This record gives sequence, structure tokens and C-alpha cells, in this order.
Amino acid sequence: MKLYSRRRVLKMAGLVVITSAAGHLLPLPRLNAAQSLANASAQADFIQVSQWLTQQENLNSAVAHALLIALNQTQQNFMAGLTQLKALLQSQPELLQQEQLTFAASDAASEKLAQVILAGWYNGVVGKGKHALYVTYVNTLANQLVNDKLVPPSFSYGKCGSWAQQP
Amino acid sequence: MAAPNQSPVVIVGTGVVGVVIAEQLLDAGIPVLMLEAGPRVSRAEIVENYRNLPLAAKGNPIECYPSREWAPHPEPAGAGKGYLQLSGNDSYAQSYVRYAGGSTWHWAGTCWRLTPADMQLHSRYGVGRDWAFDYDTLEPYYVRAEYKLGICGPDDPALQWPPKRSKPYPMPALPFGPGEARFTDVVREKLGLHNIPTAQARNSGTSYDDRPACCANNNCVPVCPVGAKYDGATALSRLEAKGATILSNAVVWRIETNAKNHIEAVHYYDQHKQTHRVSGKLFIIACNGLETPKLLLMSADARNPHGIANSSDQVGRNMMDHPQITMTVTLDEPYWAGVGPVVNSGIMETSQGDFRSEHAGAYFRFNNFARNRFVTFGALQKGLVGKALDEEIRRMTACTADIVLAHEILPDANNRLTLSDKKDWLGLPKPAIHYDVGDYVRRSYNDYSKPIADRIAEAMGAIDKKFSKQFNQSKHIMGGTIMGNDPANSVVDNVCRAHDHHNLFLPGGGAMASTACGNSTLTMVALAFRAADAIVKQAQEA
Repeated sequence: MKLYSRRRVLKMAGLVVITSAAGHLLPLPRLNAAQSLANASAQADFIQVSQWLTQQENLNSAVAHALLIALNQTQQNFMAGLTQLKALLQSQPELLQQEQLTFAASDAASEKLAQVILAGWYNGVVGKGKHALYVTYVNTLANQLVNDKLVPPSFSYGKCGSWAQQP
Repeated sequence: MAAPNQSPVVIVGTGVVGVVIAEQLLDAGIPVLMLEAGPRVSRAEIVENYRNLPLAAKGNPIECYPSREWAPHPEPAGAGKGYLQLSGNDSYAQSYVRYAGGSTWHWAGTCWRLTPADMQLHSRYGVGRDWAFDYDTLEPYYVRAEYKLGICGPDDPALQWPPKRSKPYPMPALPFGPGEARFTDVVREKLGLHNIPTAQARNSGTSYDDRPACCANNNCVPVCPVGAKYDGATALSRLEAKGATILSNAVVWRIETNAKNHIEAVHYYDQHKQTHRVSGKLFIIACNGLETPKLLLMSADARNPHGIANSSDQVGRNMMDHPQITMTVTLDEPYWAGVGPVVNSGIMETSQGDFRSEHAGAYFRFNNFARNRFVTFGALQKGLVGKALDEEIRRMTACTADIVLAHEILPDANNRLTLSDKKDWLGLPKPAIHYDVGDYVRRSYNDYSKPIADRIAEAMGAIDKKFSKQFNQSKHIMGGTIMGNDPANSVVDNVCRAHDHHNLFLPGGGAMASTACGNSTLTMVALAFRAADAIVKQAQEA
């Protein structure tokens, strides 16, 4: 059977999928090689950069770990790019005082990587097209941001009619 | 166990129409064999598919129903990619599900009835066609359909659509979410329009039909995770308990006639491309508004050179839907769409009036889908970061809404399904559809529905509004086996029996002679009940 491309994506995504509610990384043996890339130092750098970009201190560490693995698999020279991005944000903190990511032309690659990292956190997918990796659903920041008002679709509000009150 | 090769009644299709008819027959003691082109899957599998979809794909109701190679249905990729061959001024880009249970897997559950006027367009307004019978004839079947599917709706006749009905809904209406409630208030207070509760096949406050009460997963489309919404799949086990035989992965590709030009058998491929023959006395083809005419056309033989049931040359013609335009508004106050069921209300009064001699009616619907999955991409594309990004996603989730303008359309013989020279995995022709919504619809949008939508946007306090650039399809497939009293210009009679074949029934949306503006499923099911009565009578006489 010729595989449906997104099915392939989802199959690949299974390697890094986060369980829906608890946010725990599945202990799949095939992840071992990829996980070796995500050493403690890289994880610390990734969380630091992610905290700066999202301006959130309490990012989910399991999602961070899964995102790091997915980024390693989909972005060329990701670790070097991450180091470069971290150095840039460290040396020029004013970049994050703006509402929009606007780096110098010479730092275009870092700007692009920052957008990829943000997209991973907010919509739970890293990469594009058939190379995209699905990482998480309920733990996306797009869901977390509104969880005082909305539950992620396919999860329940509660007993019938409980949704009628003004959020 | 070998698959049966004969049955008194053979039903092709396990969607809502097929299962409703099957149950009527079983209850009358008549055995049925049901053939389904696609697989039979569990609800949990579909829910898991949905949750594992990338965020961008979650808005497409077909994405968590991947086609099997032998039973493609329209989808962006995989076996269903390029299945529909489309041409014409407008796109007839339908989506439907070839799984056991059919397309009600991913419907919203909306169950508007037609009005008496909707069924008499020609005699009242000089356009379109009249139905072969009037509303009063259909009304008892609507009641049966509402009790079979389990419809919740308002008790107050002023809030019912249409108010002319003989029996209350089996369950009370569901409460509105905050966005719908605010929408209802502003259109009433500022425009005098009445946004009324949708009659819907969703359990309100109680279990019904062995299904639980709605707990607002906001996921009726593409799949209700708990089965609170009726779908055909919820009935399959009950049918089997009553004695039905259901064969999945059985793609019917030929209808065989005998010397009397009665239907003698159907032939199907299994998933291994092996062909099988099933004979019977009565045949019901209910495999949706596209697959049914496709099968009829594929089955042309020496006695029926233009296809089965097609002496009128109307099979595959008059393809209809509800052409819709979406208005996306940005508001200066939070509405918080996305709390509660996805479709819960509508403005129906705008669908009626003498203007229908000139242009189509329209109904307006506040789409109650959670918005953050749509707006997050836009916020990211703006390059926002940090708190500004968070604030934009929150603002756009709370302060944007989609208002849908759904139009009726007239039957037009030029809007036509034919057989493409492109073939699917089994070597069967893909459906080709030529389509144009026509001036009747375009005039409505330009002169009627868009001006109303503009006023709605203003009443809501919109600071921005955008309209979709083309008419989109509502996935309400109608017209390809149109009903009428004259065999010269219609395919089925007033009980959905083929004019050309005494033992062939073609019930469902394909028989509808007009579309009205509201969703078609309840009318399809009412027609199924009417056909079922005729089928039972014919089977018992035989």
C-alpha cells in the first residue's frame, strides 16, 4: 500500500509523541539514538531559548524534550543554530523587547530558527510537509493559553449544559 | 464463514439512509444484507486519528478518515487524492466518508426540516421544481426521523423551524454557548432577526438510543468522541443483533438486470480485488449522492445503455448542495466561540419570501468551533513573539467568529456527474462533476445575503470582516437521482422507487427536488422512512 504522506508523518510522529493529558514522553527504544543528541546541555540551552522566546518560565519539560528531538531530526545543523541563536539573544536582549522578531539581515537564519521553535511550542508540529513531525496536541501553547476559557476540542466540558455560562 | 451470495433484500451503503431502512425491514421480519465499500472502524480509532493530526489539519473534517485504496473518498492526500474530477465555474468539492456508518460520522447533527414553500418552488415562485408531494405528506415521516435519530429541539413553536409540526421533539434544546448567546442577542436587538436553536441529532441532558448526553467536546465535526451525536455507526451493532448481515470492504461496481429489466444481482469487489455476486428480490442503493449515480452509470447494459434507472437521462444531473460563503469577523469584544456543540443555532427566517422568484434564500449560522486552532498560524506568521504573541492568539481566539451564509440552489441538468476516464485502484471510473452555482445563487449573494451579512457584522461590532472568495460546498449532496411524477424527467417516483426498475429503490439526498437552505440529512431520513414503508409492503407482497 502506498502510504498517505500525512500518515507517514503521523507514523514518524509516533516516535516523539507526547501522551495526551499527562504529557509524558513514551519510552520508545527507537528514540535512543535521537535522545543521545538531546543531552542535558542541549536541553538546558533549548529551554533557555524557549523561555526567552515565549516569555514563559514554566514550560513543560517533557514537551521541551520531545521538541528538541523533533527539531534535531528536521532542522539542518540544529544544535549549531541553537547555540548561535542563544548567543544572539544573550548578547542582544533588546531583540526580545520588541513585539515582533526582527533580527539583522546577517542573523536571518537565527530569526527563522526562532520562528520554527515558536511554531513547535504553539502548534505542536515541527517541520513542514512530509518531513513534519507531530509532537503534541493538548500541551500546545495555543491550547494552554486559553485553557481558562476553552478545553481542547475532543475533550469534554462536563455535564450537559455546563458550557452555557459566560467564561 | 463464506459471505452470503443471496438475500431477499440487498442494501448498498451503510450510511444513515441504509441503516434506517434496514432497521424498518428487520423489524418487519425481512432479512437484509448490507454492503459497505469501506472499512468498519471503532470510534476510538477515529478520535485517536483526530488527536494525532497536526493542528493545521484538524479543521478539515475528512482528515481523520483516511481512504482505503479500494474505497477512495475525497481527501487531500492518500488514496482519495484526486478522486473527484471537477470542472465548471464553481467547485463541487464535496467530502464524504466511505466507512461503515457513512458520512454521519462527521456531520454536525443539524436537522432542519424543509418548509411547505421549500417543496413548491415552481408553483409558488416559478423556479425550480415542485416535489412529487407536499409538506403535509412528508410531515409524519419527519416525526419518525426525529424520533429515530434522537433530535433535541425547542418546545416553543416560535423557536421551531418550521413551526408546522405534529409532535414535539423527543428531547429539549441544548443551551447556547456564550458566543452564540451574544450573537442571538445582538441580531435580535439591532436587526430584529431571530437566531433560533438548531434541531439537532444530539442528546440533551439524557441518554437516548443507548447514546450518552452531550458533554460538549466541541468536536461534533469531525467525530463525537462519546457518541452523543447520532451517526450511522452507532446503529450497526443493533442491526446485527436484529439479524442483519453487514459486509464491509465490499465495493459494489455493477448492478445486473434480467430479461424483465428488474434488478437481479449486484457485483462487488472485496479488498483483494476479488469479485463476488449477490442476488436478491429487492435492492436499495443508498451509497450517497455521488456514489449512487456513479454506480448506476457504471452499470449500463444492453437493456439500459445509458445506465441503470436512466431512461430519462437524469441520473447524475441536477447535482445540488448548499453553496456557502463564510464571513470571518473580528470583534471589539470577546465572544469566545468554541464553547459547546459546534452548530447550535441559526437564522432561518431569511430563507423564505417572495424574492425566491428572483434569487435564492439564505440562512445564517454562527459557527461555534474553537478558534485558537485557526488563529495561531496567523499570529505566528505576523512574527510576533513572547507576550505579544500570547495576547494576539488570545484576542483572536476570543474576538473572531465565522458566520456562514448558506444558500439554496436550483436543480440544473447541466450540473452533472459523469464517469471520468481516470480510474481508481480497482480500475473503476472516478466521478467527474461539472458544476456552476448559477445566477440564482449569485444574485442572492450580491443583492441579498451579503447585505444582510454586512448588517450582522455591524451589529456584532465587527472591526474587520472578510468573506471567502468563492462558494464553498456544504457537503450536502442532493439531486443526482431526482424525484418526480413524470418518468420522462425524473429518476425515482414519490417513494424513491426507480421509474425504470420495479425492485430498485434509490432513497436519500439524490431524490430531493429542491434543497431549501438548511441541512439535508433529516429530509433524507424522512424519505428513507417513506421508502421503507413501500419496500416492506412490496417485500411482503412478494
